[in-house]
Amino acid sequence: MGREREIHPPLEWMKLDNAAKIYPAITGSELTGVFRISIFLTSPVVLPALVKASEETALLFPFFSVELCKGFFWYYLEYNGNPPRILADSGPRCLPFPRTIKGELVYRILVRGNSISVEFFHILTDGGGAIFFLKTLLNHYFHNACGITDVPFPEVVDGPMPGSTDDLFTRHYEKGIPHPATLAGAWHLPYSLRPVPRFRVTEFEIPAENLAATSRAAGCTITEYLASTLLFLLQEIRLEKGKGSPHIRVQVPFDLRKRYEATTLRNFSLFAMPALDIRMGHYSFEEVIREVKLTIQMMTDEKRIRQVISRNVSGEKNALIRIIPLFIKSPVMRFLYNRFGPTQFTSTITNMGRVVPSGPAAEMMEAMSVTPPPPHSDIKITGGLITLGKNTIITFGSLTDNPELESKFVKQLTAAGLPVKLRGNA
Amino acid sequence: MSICKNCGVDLGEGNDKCPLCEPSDGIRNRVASPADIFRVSRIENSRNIYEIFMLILVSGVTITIAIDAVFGKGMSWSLITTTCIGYLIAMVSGIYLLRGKQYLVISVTATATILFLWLLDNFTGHHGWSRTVGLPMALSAALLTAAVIFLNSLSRYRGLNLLATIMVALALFTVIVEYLIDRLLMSAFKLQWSVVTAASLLIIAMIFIFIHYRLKRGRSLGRLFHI
Repeated sequence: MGREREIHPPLEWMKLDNAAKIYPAITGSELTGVFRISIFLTSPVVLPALVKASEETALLFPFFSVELCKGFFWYYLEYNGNPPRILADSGPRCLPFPRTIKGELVYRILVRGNSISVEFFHILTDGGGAIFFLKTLLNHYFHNACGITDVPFPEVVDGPMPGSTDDLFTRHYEKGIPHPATLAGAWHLPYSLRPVPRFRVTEFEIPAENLAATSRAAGCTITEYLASTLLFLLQEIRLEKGKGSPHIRVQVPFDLRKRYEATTLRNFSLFAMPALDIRMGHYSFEEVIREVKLTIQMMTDEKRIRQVISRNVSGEKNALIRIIPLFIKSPVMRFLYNRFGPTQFTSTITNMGRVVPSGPAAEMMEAMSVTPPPPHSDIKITGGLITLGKNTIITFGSLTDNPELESKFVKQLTAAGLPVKLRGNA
Repeated sequence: MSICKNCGVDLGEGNDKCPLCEPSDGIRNRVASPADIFRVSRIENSRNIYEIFMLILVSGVTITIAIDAVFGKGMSWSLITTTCIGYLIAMVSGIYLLRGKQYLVISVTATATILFLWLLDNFTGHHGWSRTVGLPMALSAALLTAAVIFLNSLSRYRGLNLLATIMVALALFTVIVEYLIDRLLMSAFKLQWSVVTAASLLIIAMIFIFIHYRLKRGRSLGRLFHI
């Protein structure tokens, strides 16, 4: 009972976590802050089983049944107890969540043919929380659709643990820690934007074992290998174009849950930012891998993490910032984000890791994909990847029609001996 | 097993209609895809704005009547404010509740305007101007608006040609206004300022029509003036 009380605290409202606070101010019809995780099954989705599974899962995640509301000083999440919408996956991906409809949640389930997708607004959770939700949903779905009691994801069978709603950023905040140094503006891809709706997605499939073997042979992890590939190609494009900032940086998000043994399902991740300064000369691929490895190692060091968390949370703790009304705070936050946010990096690549299903349902799942949120118009192209069983799917989300980066990325991987298959372009 | 032809999901035993692609709820609130949510959002938005507007207007009527009753010991000047606010309520409600039915909106707003002018005339001494000037002016404005909407509906691309049609209608309206005012004040009609205004408007309309059909080849206003 004690645990139940802790998991289901008096659900009336929740503060936005520290990472989420910026999203209501900066997001809109194009920069939506919405990401998607999809699973592709081997047979068509049984709709009544999915509807039942979504209702059962929503009961386990009451803190997801919330809507975004405007307070006088901050936005907040108000509990409404509604189940998520299940919609036909027929339009563009990662559309924003309307804020004017009363009772509208900030996540949804989409279905089409063999695929089930969940789309989350980043104010609610990050990729780690979304995967936890999707795994729970699939456990219930396979039970309802095929009567499978040997659930494919036993690690989430107990549902969310105590502490699922904690904002761990504020808990790990320490006063008086010096802020990390401010970075010089990074170079941005010079491509022109597509007409509205701008967001375009391209997916590639790679055998997970081959990718792991290639990364191992290069002496790094899959994340480091793909981040190095992206950084190396951005360097090539920057040198071809010949002008712009000499700093090329790739944002690589990393999950903090394992490090802090955290059970929170709210945002709890930070970024490493491997960088190249082309004034130092051309970097070979091996040199790029070394830079990426060192930077990720350094940025995931506990002291560095504490420093970044303290920098991020200090603004929220500032008494002056707290008492400024939201109608002033929001435009200021938007201005500051546009001035200091996307200027810091060139692109992003996020690895959601490996999902390993077990039991008879494992055979019924073919692949998974992650669609990163539509990028800022300065960034233009971002990437994400996730591995399910034997398949890794890399997804590029782009605001431009120019496929140069994606095509160079695939060529680089095939040149390294990896078989890359185009899965879809939407 | 029946599979939805549209979204490809298995509908389960005994179901032949896909609840995702053919939801059973009302058409206006039908949500089949994320994009549909925004249509519903727009409907809810306009309803909220309408309700707030009505609340403000009804509060205005109540407050003015209360002040007049307490300090003026009856209803005198508050009759005029109430009529004005009542006219606003009729106009806003007509436009909001009959949206999409353009000719009906014109009929209702024209009727409300004529009634409003007649009431104002009565409250301010019954000089008869509402019959001689107000009624024909409101009717001609309604007829010209209907004509603009009709001509606009015939056009394939609505760009500067729409502005040109509005200019022509305004030109005609200025002549009508001068005619009605002349008749009221001097009992004789002599074309003066309205000819200059109408001629200027017609020249601008011709330039717009030329640009629309010759230079921009039917480019829409949305594209031309998008922000």
